[in-house]
Amino acid sequence: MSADRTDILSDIDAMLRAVLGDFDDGVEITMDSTFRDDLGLESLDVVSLAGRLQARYGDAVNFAQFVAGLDVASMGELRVGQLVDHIAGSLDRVPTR
Amino acid sequence: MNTAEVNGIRLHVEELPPQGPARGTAVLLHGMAGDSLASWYLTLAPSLAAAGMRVLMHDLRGHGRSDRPPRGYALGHFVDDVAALLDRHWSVDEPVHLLGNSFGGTIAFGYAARRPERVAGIVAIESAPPVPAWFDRIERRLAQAAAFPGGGGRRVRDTLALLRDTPIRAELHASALPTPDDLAGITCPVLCLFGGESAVRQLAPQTEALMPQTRTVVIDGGRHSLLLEHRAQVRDQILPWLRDTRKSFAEGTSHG
Repeated sequence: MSADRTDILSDIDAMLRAVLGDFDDGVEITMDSTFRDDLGLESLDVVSLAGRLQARYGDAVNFAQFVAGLDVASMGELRVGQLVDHIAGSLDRVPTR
Repeated sequence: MNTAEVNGIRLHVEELPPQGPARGTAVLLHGMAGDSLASWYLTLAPSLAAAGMRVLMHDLRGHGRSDRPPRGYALGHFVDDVAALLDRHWSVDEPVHLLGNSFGGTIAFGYAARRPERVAGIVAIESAPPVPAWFDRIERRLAQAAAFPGGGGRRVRDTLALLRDTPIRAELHASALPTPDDLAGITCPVLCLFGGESAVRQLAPQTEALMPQTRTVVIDGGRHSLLLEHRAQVRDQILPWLRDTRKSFAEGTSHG
């Protein structure tokens, strides 16, 4: 895994634990963790995550649009790695100055 | 979390800003018991923002991350919250499009009956205006939900707590409803979407009789969870309809 993705995963790990709050059971969060089955995220947790991603990455990462493009089944099966890849790809597309 | 203090309680609110030229305001209302703004946020909200709309959402009182007051769950309370958010929190002064899923559509009609001049259009998904037949049906569904043995995830437990620990069922069923004349005073364009497999569409003729401008679309194979399970078809109905509605609104032509 690239250094970029390792950093992003570390960011996501912190955001997910903040979102889960009292429901965080300390399970390890990896690229293969699924949002629903492994982490127990509910849809409002995903909304909360979207707000944190916006605050961290700005408009470069449109997480709401990314999720809205998934069908219902894949939303439940969404893996942390897919989100990390989406963020890495989105940041790559931002023109550097 | 973003919150708004209105009517003595704190409501969870979310907003997606318009992309590109501004094309009006959309207020998205979710359904009763077990639903939340996530049903909109994670489905149609981004498409509406991408189409240039300011998109406003909240968790209904008692639902999601909003406060759960010990009482205050009649239709009028939910309408009061929409009115207060628009006037005082979001400070919207143009007529808005109200999009409601299930009971959220009923709140939309309730607000429009009270403030018809503030509403540019209504989209109701698997819903009906506030009429007794619909409130009877909602009560039967909530009674079934309350009898659920429990277990399940956080959301199921939270829904059971709402139904068992608050007077929401009784208050909702005893709601003061707009009169047929009030509802006939809603002259803005209305789009009603139904799932072909859902019994809610049985109420469509009554809606069309009250508001003859209503356009009804049935999506084959859809059930009550139409918004979640057929989001692409729902989006493909709503976005062109909103575009056409805005056009006729701007031109000042009659709705119909």
